[in-house]
Amino acid sequence: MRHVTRFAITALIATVLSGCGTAIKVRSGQMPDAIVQQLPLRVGVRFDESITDFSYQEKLATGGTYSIDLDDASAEMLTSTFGDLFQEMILVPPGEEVPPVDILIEPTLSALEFVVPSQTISNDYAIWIKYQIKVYDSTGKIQADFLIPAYGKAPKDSLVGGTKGALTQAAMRALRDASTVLLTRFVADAKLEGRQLRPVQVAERPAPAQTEPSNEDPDTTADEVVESELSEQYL
Amino acid sequence: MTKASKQHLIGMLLASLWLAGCSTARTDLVNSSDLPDYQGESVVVMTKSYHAGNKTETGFTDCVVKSVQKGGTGLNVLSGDEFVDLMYPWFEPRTVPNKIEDMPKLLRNPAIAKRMRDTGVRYVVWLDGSTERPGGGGSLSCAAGPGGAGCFGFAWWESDSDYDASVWDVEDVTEAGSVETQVTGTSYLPAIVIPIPLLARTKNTACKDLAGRLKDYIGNAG
Repeated sequence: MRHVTRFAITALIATVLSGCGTAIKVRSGQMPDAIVQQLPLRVGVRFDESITDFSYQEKLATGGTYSIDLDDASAEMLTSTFGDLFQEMILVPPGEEVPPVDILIEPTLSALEFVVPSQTISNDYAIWIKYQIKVYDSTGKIQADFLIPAYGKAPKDSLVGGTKGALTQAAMRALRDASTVLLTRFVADAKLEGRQLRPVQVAERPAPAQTEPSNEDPDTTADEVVESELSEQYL
Repeated sequence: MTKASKQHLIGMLLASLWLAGCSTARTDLVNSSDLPDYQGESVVVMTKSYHAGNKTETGFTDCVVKSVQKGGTGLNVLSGDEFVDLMYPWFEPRTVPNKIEDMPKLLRNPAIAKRMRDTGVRYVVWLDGSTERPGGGGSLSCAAGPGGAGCFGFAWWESDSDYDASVWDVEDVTEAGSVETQVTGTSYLPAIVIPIPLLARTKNTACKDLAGRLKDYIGNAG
C-alpha cells in the first residue's frame, strides 16, 4: 500500500511539473509623446490579424512551455507611433475601401523569437520582433516594403514578478524599440524624404553649444540638416 | 556542548568575521574638469545601453540614485525613466548617444534641445560596469530527517565590483569627468548545523563610494 501511495505522489508531482508553463499577456503601455517632425500627410493604416491578435507558443528543449500573447499590443504601439509621425491618420478596417489618402501603410508581424536564461546561460530574457511594413502611394502602387527589427531584454532577478515579469518587460521593451525604429527611420525607409516636413516648433532661445557644419548649404534649413543626418545615422 | 567546543566555535566565527572584512576598495575621480557652483540643477543617473553590451544591474543604479539624493548636500535627481520618456525617442537603448561627441548632432535639432532645457537637467551620469564572481570553492551539504535538519561544511566565493560613472555636462556639451570604483572581496559560508553567511558586500560598498564621490564632485564643485 505504501508503494502505491509513493507512486501516486510521484506521478502527481511529475504531472504537475510536466504541465508547468509560463504564459504572459503583453500590453504596449502608454507610449510617450515623441519629439519628431510630423509629416503633413493624410495616411491610412490597415492592420491584419498578426497585429490585432497575435500569440506565440513554444516548448523549449531546455524545459518548459512559454506562451506570449501580444493580443493587440502591436496595434496600440503602431497607432500611437503613426499618430506621432503623421498629421492625420485613418485606421482602415480589413476588407473596407480605402478613403482618399496620401499613403496607405500595411504592417504585419512577421516573426517573434525569444530566449530564456536557461538557453543562454545568462541572466536575461530577450525577445526579438520583426515587422514587415508595406507602403502604398495614393494610386495603390507599392512605394516601399521593408522590415523593422525590434529587440528587448530584461534581467531575471531585478523585476517583481519573476519569470513572467521579466518576459513581459522584455516584450514591452521590444515593442517600444519597434516604435523607436519607426520614429527615427520611417521617413527614409518609406521613401518619403522628398516630402515637405511640418516645421518643428522653434526653441525660444538658441540651443546650447550649437556646432554648425562647415560645409553646410546656406539654403538648407537646420531641420533638413538634422533630418538628413539622423536618417544617415539610423539607416 | 563542551566548553572546548564552544571556544572552538566562537574562535571560528571570529576568524570568519575578520576574514569577511578583507575586502579592498579603490575609488578615483579621473579626467575631471572643474564644474561651476552647484545651484540645484537636475542630475539624471542612467545606465549605458544594453545594445552596447552594458550589464549594470538595476539595483545598483537604484542604490546610486538614492545615495546621491541623501542628506543635506544631496543632489536634485530626476528619475531616469522620466527623463527617457521626456526625451523619447532619442535616449532609447537603440538611439541613446554613446559618447559626448554624439550630443551636438542631437541638440542641433531645436525641438530636442528645447525639451532638454525644459527637463532642467544639467548633468547626465552614465553608469557602466557590473559585479562578477570570478571564483569560489569549498563544500557544503545539508540534510533533513525525522529528527531535524542541518548543514555542515564551508564555502567561499569572490566578488569583484567594477563600475565607472561618466559625468556629462549637457549645457556645455562636455564630458566633465568620471569616477571609477573597484571593490573586491571574499564571502564565506561556514556551517555547523546552521549556515552563517559572512558576506563581502562589494556591490553595496561600490555604490556608496561611487555615489559619495559623485556627490562631492557635482555638489561641491566650484
